Formats: sequence, structure tokens, C-alpha cells
Amino acid sequence: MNIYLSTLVRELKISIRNPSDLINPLLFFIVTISLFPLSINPEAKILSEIAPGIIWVAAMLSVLLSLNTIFHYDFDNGILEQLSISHHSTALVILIKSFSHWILTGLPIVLLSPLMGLFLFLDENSIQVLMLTLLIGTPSLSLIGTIGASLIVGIRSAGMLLALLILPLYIPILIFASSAISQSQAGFEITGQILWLIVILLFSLMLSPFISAAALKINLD
Amino acid sequence: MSLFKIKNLSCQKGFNLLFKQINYTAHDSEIIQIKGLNGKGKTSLLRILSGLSKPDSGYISFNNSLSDSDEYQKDILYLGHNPSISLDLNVIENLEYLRSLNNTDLNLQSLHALKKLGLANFQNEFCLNLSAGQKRRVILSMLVLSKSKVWLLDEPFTALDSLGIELIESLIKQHSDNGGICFFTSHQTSSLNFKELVL
Repeated sequence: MNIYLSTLVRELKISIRNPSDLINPLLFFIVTISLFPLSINPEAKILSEIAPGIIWVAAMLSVLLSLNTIFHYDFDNGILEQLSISHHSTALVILIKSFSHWILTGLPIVLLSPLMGLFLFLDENSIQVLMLTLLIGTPSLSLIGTIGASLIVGIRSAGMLLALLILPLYIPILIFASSAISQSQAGFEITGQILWLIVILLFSLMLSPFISAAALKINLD
Repeated sequence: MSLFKIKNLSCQKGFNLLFKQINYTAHDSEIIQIKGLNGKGKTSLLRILSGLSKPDSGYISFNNSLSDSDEYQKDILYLGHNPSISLDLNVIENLEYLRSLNNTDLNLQSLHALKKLGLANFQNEFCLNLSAGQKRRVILSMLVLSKSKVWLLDEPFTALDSLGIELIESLIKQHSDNGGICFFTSHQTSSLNFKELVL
């Protein structure tokens, strides 16, 4: 098996054997969204208006919660050292790790989002747009998050620092995604917002693995 | 003939100068023990030789390939202090992943290495359930499978029993007999016929 496929299989195996790492961010996503109808107003009109923001903020925070697992264990047990000095491309292996993080965190959020949309009284069309924005946006969250995780990998209890580093970088995704859903609710065209989300995804795909590889190299030195 | 060159190597950690202007040339079949008191920079030197850390001055090359090149990395096997295994994977899964990261002999089965290291009966055991010595043996199985010419071993005998130490010494000797070069650190006495690099 080549290194890239074996990295993907390894990441998935480790996550499946640690179900808490997999389930906790999802439970956080569901619980956070459930709190809003209880604390604001259970009226359908109000909830459907604020639903895009609520779901997207909950998705961002859930992804943020799980970022620490991307490199933390491998840093502690020395696997990152072996990766860093192997003759394979560290950046490509990191890209695979980001992809597996998305499969385990982002994809379940995308799949759960219709239920959460219904819970907040979103109409069918808006739920489709919500799923589309999450499908394009959550891989960017994983890729950008990987940069943050690689920067703080050697620091103990750096959860708050990670949030401070990463959340500002998530803002454009949040703006375009929630704006797309709101615009579609109002019956406007959303091509612009979707294209911007794709541009952010492409930039993240191009830059994140290389920045993360450089950050890991510095942390391992 | 292979040449491993260390040229004018210096390393400083914080305000502490660990070593300065080290020069050494290792030839085929050489076994070199890096000696020095605690804190003298033995591990730092091995990490620099592996390409993990950058020296403050100087360079390392193997057959004219510098330490930041892919050709150099293919010829290097570095086993450090860390176990380099995941506790959530079993022995064979960990070894297979280490193989995919390193330059190993594809004709050899992983099970062959585990048999040699006395772990054949533990191949499906999760590493979480292994003793410290057994965990160490998982990563040391790479010595059986590696095709790299230069081995960099940081305290390879730690946590091993006397039989384990003998086995690792025989693997190092076999590597040397095949023309390989091995740098290692150890605070234990060894029966190997080695040269010394004192820091």
C-alpha cells in the first residue's frame, strides 16, 4: 500500500477506535443548535431567519473542537518525526490527514445538516443550499484548521490559542456561506457566494498542506 | 564506496553551545558510537544527522547528497527516543505504516521481522497492551526490514532485556558486514566493535 492510502486507512482506523473523538464534535454541533430555540424564541419565522448563522457557527466550532486530534497524538508518539524525515512529500501526507479529518468531522456535519435545518424551520430549498455551502465550506475549515493545528502542535493546552489563530480565518467562509442561505431564502441568486466559497477551497487546497508542512518542520526542530 | 561526511557541524540550544566544528567522515561498514555526558548533545547530533534539526553551521552529506535532499533521506533510517507507534493500532498495522514511511526491502514480510524480534505471537495485539520493551521491539523491527545505508539509533538498547540487546547488536553487526554505516548512542557497554565520536 502506498504511503498516502495507508495514511488515510490509518487515520480512519485510529478514529473509529476512538469513537469519542468522532462523536463529541457531532454531539456539540447538535446540542449547540438545540440551545437556540430554547433561549431565543421558538417562533418559526425568527428561527428560520437566524438558522444559517446558527448552523454555520455551530459547524465552525465543532470543527475547531476536533482540530487538536489531527497532529497531537502523532507528535507525542514520534510518528511526525518519521514522516518529516521520510522521502515522501510531507505536504501530501498532510493533505491526506486533512481529508480524513473532513471525512470524520465535516462530512457527518453535512449529512446531519438537513435534520438541523428542519429543526430550525428552514424550507426545502434553503436546506439544499445549506448542504451545498457545508459541502464546499467544511473542507476549507479542515484545511485552514490544519494550519492552526500544525502551528500549535508542540504547545500544551493550546485550545484557546488555536481558536484565536483560526477563527478570524474562518470569517470569510462564514460570511459567504450564511449569506448564500439567507439570499436563497429571499429568492436571490447565490452563484457569487458559492463561487467565492469554491475559490477559498481552492486556495486552501493549494496553500494549507505546504504551510502546515513548514510549520511542523519548525516545531519538530 | 560510500562516504558519510560531517563537516564543521555546530549546534547551540538557547545559550548553551552543545558542540562546535565537528568533522567526521564515516566509510562503509563503520559502526560509530557517539559518546558524551548527559546534555552534551548526542541526541541533538543524531537529530541533525537525520535531517530533523538544522545545524547552526556546517553540513552533512552522504555520497554527495546533502541532508535536506530526498536521496539522502532514502539512505537514512532514524530511530529516536519516541516509540513512533500508535497505541490504537496493533503491532502489524504499526509496522506496516512505518514501512510505508521508510525505505524497506519489499521482498521481506513484516511478519519475518516480527518473528526475528520475538513478536510473532503479538502481531494482532494492540500496542497499548505491550510492555515498554515490546513497544521498543516494534520500532526496532525496522532494522530487519530497512534498506537504508545509514542507521541513526538513539539509545537503541533502552528498555530491552539482555537477549534483546544481543539481538540488536547482531543486527547492527550484520548491517555493518553488508557495508552499512551505523551511528548510535548508548550509556550501556556494548560488545560491538565500534569507533567513537566524543562530544
